[in-house]
Amino acid sequence: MIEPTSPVLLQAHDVTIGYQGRNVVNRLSIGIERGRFTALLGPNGCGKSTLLRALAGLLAPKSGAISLEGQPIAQLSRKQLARRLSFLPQIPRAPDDITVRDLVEQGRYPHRRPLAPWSAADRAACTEALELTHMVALAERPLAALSGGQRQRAWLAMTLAQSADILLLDEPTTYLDMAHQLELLALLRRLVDERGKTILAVLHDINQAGQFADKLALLSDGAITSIGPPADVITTETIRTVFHVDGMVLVNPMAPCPLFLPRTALASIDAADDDTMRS
Amino acid sequence: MNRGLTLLVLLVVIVATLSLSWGDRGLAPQDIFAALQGDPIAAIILGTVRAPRIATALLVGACLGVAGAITQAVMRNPLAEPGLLGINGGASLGVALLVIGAEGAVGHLMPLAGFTGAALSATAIYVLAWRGGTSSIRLILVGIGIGAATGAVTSLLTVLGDIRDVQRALAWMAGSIYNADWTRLRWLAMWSLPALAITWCLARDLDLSAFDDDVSGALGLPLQAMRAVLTALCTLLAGAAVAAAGPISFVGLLAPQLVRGLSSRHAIRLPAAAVCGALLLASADLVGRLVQLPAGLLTPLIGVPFIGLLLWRRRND
Repeated sequence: MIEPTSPVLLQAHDVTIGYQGRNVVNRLSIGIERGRFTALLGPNGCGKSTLLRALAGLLAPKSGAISLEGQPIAQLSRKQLARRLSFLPQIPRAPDDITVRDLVEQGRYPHRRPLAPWSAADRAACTEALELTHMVALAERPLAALSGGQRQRAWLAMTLAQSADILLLDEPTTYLDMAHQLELLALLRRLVDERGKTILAVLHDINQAGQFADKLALLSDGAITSIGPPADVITTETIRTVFHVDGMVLVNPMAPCPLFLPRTALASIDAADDDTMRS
Repeated sequence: MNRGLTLLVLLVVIVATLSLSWGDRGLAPQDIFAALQGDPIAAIILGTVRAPRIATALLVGACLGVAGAITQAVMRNPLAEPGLLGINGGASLGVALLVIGAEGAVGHLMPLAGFTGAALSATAIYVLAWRGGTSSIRLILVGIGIGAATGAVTSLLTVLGDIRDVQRALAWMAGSIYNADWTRLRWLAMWSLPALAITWCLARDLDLSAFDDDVSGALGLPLQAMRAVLTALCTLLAGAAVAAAGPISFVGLLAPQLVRGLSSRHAIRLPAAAVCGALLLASADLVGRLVQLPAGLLTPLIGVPFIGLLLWRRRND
C-alpha cells in the first residue's frame, strides 16, 4: 500500500503493452514522482508514445497495472481520470474550423456536469491557460489558420484548461522553433515549481531535457534502460547503448547539468530502425 | 440568441405561412387567422390537409438536419450524411420487400417496414464495423458496402416484382409528404421529439466526438459508449424521418453543412441544423406543390449544385 505522502503519484507496475500480436513495451515499471518534471527519451519506435498512452488510460496494458496514488486507473471512470490527468498526443486532431477559444474551452469537459452552465471556475481556467501560453491575442482565430508553433501552444492551452495535476505530453516541442521550444520548456518548469504540477514529457533533445527536467528516463526496446537525475543518466555509455550515437559529455558552462556533444551515429542504427513501425 | 439562428427561424415562419396560404384554394393571412378563430371552411383546408403536411415537412426536415449533424461529428467528416449509416438503403429495401414480396393491402405498413429496414441496416453496419471498438473510417467503409448491397437487392426486387407493386415501391422511394395526416405526424413526433431533446443534451459530447480518439478520450469522453448512443439516436431520427416521408436525400448533408459557419458548438449547431433542415424540406415541398413533383425529387436539385459549389470552393485544399 502506498502512503499518501509517497513521492510516486503515477505508477506503472510490470506492464506489458502492445498492439495486436506485437508487444511494444515489455514488463516495464516506472514511478512518476509528484511535483517533478520527468523527461522520457529514447530512439524512434522504442515505445515512448505507447507508454504515455497507457499511462493516460487510453490503452489497456496486456498485463501489469497502472495506478494513480495507489488506485488502479482502470477503476476510475474516464471523467474522474481526466480531472486528475491530462494528455496531449503527438499529433492531436480537431475539427478544422474550430477557434482557439473553443478548443481551449473543450478542456473543461471533465469538470462540467451535464447541462450545467459555464461557471466562473471554467472561465478562470481558460483565461489562465490562454495567458500562460500567450494565446490571448489569437483566441478568436481558427486553429487551422495558425502556424505550427501557435497551434502547438493552443493545444497546450487546452491541456492546461483541464486543470489536472498530472500532465503527460508527447513531444510538446515538435514543430516549435528554438525560441519557442525554450519558452515552452520554461513554462513547464514554472508549472512544476509554482503550481506543483507533475509532468511527464517525451522530449527529443537530451540537452534540453537535462537543462529543464528533474529526472530523465531513457527507454530502449520497450524497457527503461536508465532513470535518474540528468547527471546520472547522461553518460557516453548510456547514450551509446540507447541512441547508438557516439560522442562526449561535457560540463554545461551555463547550467549545473551535463551536456552531450554528439559525434557520429553507430552502425547498429539500421538494426534499431527495423523496429520503428510504432513510436 | 445567435443571429444566424434567428434569421433561419424567420425564414421557416415565412415559408410555412406561404405553404399554408398557397394551394388550389388560396388563403390570405386573414383566412389563416379566421381558421384559428373557428371559420369552418378555412379550418378544414388547413386542419386536414395543409397543416399536417407542413408540420410533417418541418419535423422530418429537422430530424434529417440533426441526424446529419450527428453523422458528421461521429464520422468526423463534413461530407458524411445519415445515408452512410444505411438508413435510406435499408428503408427502401424494407419497403420494397413489403410491397413487392407481401400479398394484399400493405400500404399502412410501409412506414413500419421503412423504419425496420433502416434500423436493421444501421445495426448491421455498426456491428460489422466493430473490431474491439469502432473507428470513424471503418463505419464509413462498411456503410458504403452495406449501402451497395441493399441497393442491389432492391434493384433485383424491382426487376422481378409485379409491375404495379414495383411502381408503388418506386413512388415511395421518391420521397414525399403529400399523404401526411395527423396520425402519421403523431407517430413521427412520438419517436423524434424525445430523440431530438436527448441529442441536444449531448451537444458537448458531440463537440468532443469530432476530435480524434486520443484527445476526446484523454478529456474524459467515454468514446465507444457515446458513439453507440449517438449512432442509435441518429438511426432513430433518420429512421423516423424515412418512415414518415420516404428517403429524402441531401437534407441530412446540406442542413448541417450550411450552418457550420454559425458556431463550432453543437449547442448552437444542432438547433440550427434542425431549423435549416426544416426550412429546406418545407421549401422543397412548397416548390414541389407548385410544379407537381414530390419533395424527395427536388432536394437533389438543390443538393447537387451545392456539392459542386463545395468542391469548387475547396479545390485548392
